Amino acid sequence: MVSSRVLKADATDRRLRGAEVGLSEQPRIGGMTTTPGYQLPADVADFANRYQEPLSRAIENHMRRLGVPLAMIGIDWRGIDPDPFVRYYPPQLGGNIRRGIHGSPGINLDPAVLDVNAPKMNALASWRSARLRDRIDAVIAHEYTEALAHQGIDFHVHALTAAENTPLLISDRARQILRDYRRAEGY
Amino acid sequence: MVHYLFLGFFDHEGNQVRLAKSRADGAFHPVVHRPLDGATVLTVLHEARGTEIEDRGFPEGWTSWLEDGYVVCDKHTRNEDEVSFIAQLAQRTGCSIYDVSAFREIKLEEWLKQAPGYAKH
Repeated sequence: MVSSRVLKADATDRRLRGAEVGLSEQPRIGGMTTTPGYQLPADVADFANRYQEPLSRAIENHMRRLGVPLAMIGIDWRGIDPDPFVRYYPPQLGGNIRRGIHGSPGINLDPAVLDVNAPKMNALASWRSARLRDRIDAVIAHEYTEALAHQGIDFHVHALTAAENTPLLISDRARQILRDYRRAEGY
Repeated sequence: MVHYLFLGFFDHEGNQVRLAKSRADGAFHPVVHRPLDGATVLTVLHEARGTEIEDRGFPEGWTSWLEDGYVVCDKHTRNEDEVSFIAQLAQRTGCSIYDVSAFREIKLEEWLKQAPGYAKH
């Protein structure tokens, strides 16, 4: 599914090369190096940009097949595009807006879901060996569970502990990813 | 799925942090009112770690980094030195803490309640 074309990062583009750049070459602010955190690989970013529209449609359709209500697909809030497939900085796999914030919960995904080396998930064997569809299922379930968390509770912890038992029609492998994520986070 | 905090001094639209869409990555970024002083960030970093100022980057394994004028952190880091750094940076500079997934600024005390090593602060 990912494009076979591998973009070679511009040697001057430190945001893409990140840790590959030697310490002395990294940008500095006030004497402090500014090595960025997780960045989308160039080929993943390129693929996501080229196929934004069909990816967004495919993710919307998949969310609906899993049982996500249409009204929850995408987020209607300032500072975020309304599509099911959006860009966050830093990339965070997916996002949501909760009932407590907006009254109308919603979820979306970002291109980090396409990356086997996505933050926090890259250390999970179940994530690394999963099909893309299973990874997408897992992120959808996590965001859906967070979005519906009741006011006053820690929504992230709630999703960590509850998403693996979601009523959404996600795959068994996705549930395994969510279990492994929960354990990796110490719950 | 991954939750971040931005620590810095940001422009506001009313009581909301102003966000602007980047042409480079298509994502919304906070608009920096004035940048965090790199020297201060470095000092707080090394005080939090209890080390001399020998290197000039965040420790390997940390999930924090310095962006263009603000610091990005993992909201749910369990590294107690990192928690200490975030707390000290906010207290020392008086900067804002923007909770990206909550779409709003939060108080340091609110964040510390769910951070490990809270009792230290």
